[in-house]
Amino acid sequence: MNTEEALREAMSEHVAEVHASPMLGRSVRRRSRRTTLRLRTAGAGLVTAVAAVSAPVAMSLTAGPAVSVGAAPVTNAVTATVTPTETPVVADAGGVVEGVRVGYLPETCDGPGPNDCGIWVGVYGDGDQSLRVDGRLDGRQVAEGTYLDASGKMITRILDDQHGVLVVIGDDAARELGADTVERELRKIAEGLSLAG
Amino acid sequence: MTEEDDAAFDEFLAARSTALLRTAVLVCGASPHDAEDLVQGAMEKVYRHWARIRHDNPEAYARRVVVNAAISRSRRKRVLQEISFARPPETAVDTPDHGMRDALMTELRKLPARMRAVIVLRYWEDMSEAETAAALGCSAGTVKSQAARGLARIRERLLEGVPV
Repeated sequence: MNTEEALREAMSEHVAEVHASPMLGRSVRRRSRRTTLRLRTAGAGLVTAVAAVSAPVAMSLTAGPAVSVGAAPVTNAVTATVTPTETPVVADAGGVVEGVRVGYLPETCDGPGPNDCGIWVGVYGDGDQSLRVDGRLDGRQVAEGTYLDASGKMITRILDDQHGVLVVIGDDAARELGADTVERELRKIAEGLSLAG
Repeated sequence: MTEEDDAAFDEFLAARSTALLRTAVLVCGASPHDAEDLVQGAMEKVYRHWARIRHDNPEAYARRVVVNAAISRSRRKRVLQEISFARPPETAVDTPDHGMRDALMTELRKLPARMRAVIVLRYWEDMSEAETAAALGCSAGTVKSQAARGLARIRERLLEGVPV
């Protein structure tokens, strides 16, 4: 047996017991969602412009048929993101984000940070499924289908099986409002969400 | 991505994920667990571009992503190992003889990442020089020379280890 054949055999034996998990597809999709949720510079620049006007804003970032927008809980900061192909939409209170009317948004701060004064309203097209997988429903239930994240800066409301809504308030805005006010404002935003049309 | 795209992606994973995982294990020399993490990351990239690539040899694209990720990881790992082993142990460690297979795998792991990738693609994936070159983004000539040098190095080291 020559070296090539011996190597081929050794490599085959070495990986013979290696098998991909049948859950790989699910893990990949979950990971993909998380990547979408991570803050990216491109998104941050956009939010700067939005935050600078010190007005209530909501953003809809289209990320595919199932998940249209996201924001992720991070230890020290609440962040939102866009992927390069997404088209951001800015709306005032009363605006519609992916089929969800945002009835109420508070005034936020006027800060220099790229992503700290905004409020993100993200609509998940698969209702509660992705949100449940991502642990967004693990927080305290504050109303029917409404969950406040442990960070206190994020609230989730499930409107129906095609509209799971995640609302995240920026760090500076949260700091300026104070913890109690943030919770109150988040609950008011959640209460103000409704299906459009 | 449409439902059809999604279903096709699942089919692709069902058919090819184990082979890709095995390639990753061999190229980066990592444990299956670490390699799975690497493959997940690579497949995420594939998933992101799936609608575009699914009709255009997705397997070659996926393999290229996996192999490149495996080479990168392998290089990072090597740097860490070099730092860890900057001071050699004072006493020699007994290395039991695990037979020819383990000796070959040990020597394979010692090769530079790209050279190892050439060996894996050529002799385990059974790819031609041209296919290997396409997967690694280099010329067929480079593949040929890297494969020859890699095999020679393994042969040489195995012979050195043979007791006289």
